[in-house]
Amino acid sequence: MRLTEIDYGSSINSLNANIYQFSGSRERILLTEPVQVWHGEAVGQLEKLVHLQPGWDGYQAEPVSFTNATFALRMLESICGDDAPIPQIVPGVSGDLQIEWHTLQGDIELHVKAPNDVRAWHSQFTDGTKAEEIDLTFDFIEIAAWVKKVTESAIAITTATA
Amino acid sequence: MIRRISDKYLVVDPKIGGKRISSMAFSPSSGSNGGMSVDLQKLIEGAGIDARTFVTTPVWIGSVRLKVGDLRKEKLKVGFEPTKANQFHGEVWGNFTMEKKERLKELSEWFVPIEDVSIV
Repeated sequence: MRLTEIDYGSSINSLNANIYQFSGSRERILLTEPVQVWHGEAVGQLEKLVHLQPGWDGYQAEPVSFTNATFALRMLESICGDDAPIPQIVPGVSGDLQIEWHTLQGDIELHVKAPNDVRAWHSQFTDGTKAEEIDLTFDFIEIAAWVKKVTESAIAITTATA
Repeated sequence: MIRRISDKYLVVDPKIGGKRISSMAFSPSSGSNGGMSVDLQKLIEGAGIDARTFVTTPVWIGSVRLKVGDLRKEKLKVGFEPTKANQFHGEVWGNFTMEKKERLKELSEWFVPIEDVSIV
């Protein structure tokens, strides 16, 4: 969690910031960025994958490329809300990788072949949405909607069973 | 035909209550002629080598077995492609859609099983 200290009266850009105001000779507002549990986990997984030994698959696989790992993280940041489930990240053999979510509501798999070259797939969701497989380059709005679907369903189940 | 399955390919799936193999384990390498690496069991055993020992050396890795005939029914091609490191290396080529990869998982059986891990 990071803290950003700003002077009172400055514009606040963060939509989900927690705002704390302290009175005193000079009023200050502290913004805390929301905790994204998935982000730290994803970074940890990607770190391990870019450091895989060549031949990690028993054949001639390469480690995940730093370029693909960086792109994958940026893509996740654009499609995952704060409450998104933690993704599982699996290496490919050519420096590529696949981001996966397996939930009771359905499965999503995003194969990052290269920056801006992603094959996205989801299974049939429990709400009846049929399985589909699409190729994406720059626009990830559609897969953001897929992730939101499994996120909201997961939160609903957690709330209902609490 | 044997396909080695690294533990890097394992994912947790709450629908089965445990770990299973990711579809990435049945993906080809990139490039215009990229294929999925395999070990050709018949050639290994023809050379008088125990296949299970071969595919778990020098690093222990799980593996599954697929029949060449099943792959050809799925419109995939299997070929002998020896490498410097593996004289019994083969490759599988074709169009690896998600549906095809799921089908390959269904057609697989453990050869060197990974404990408490499901294929599908």
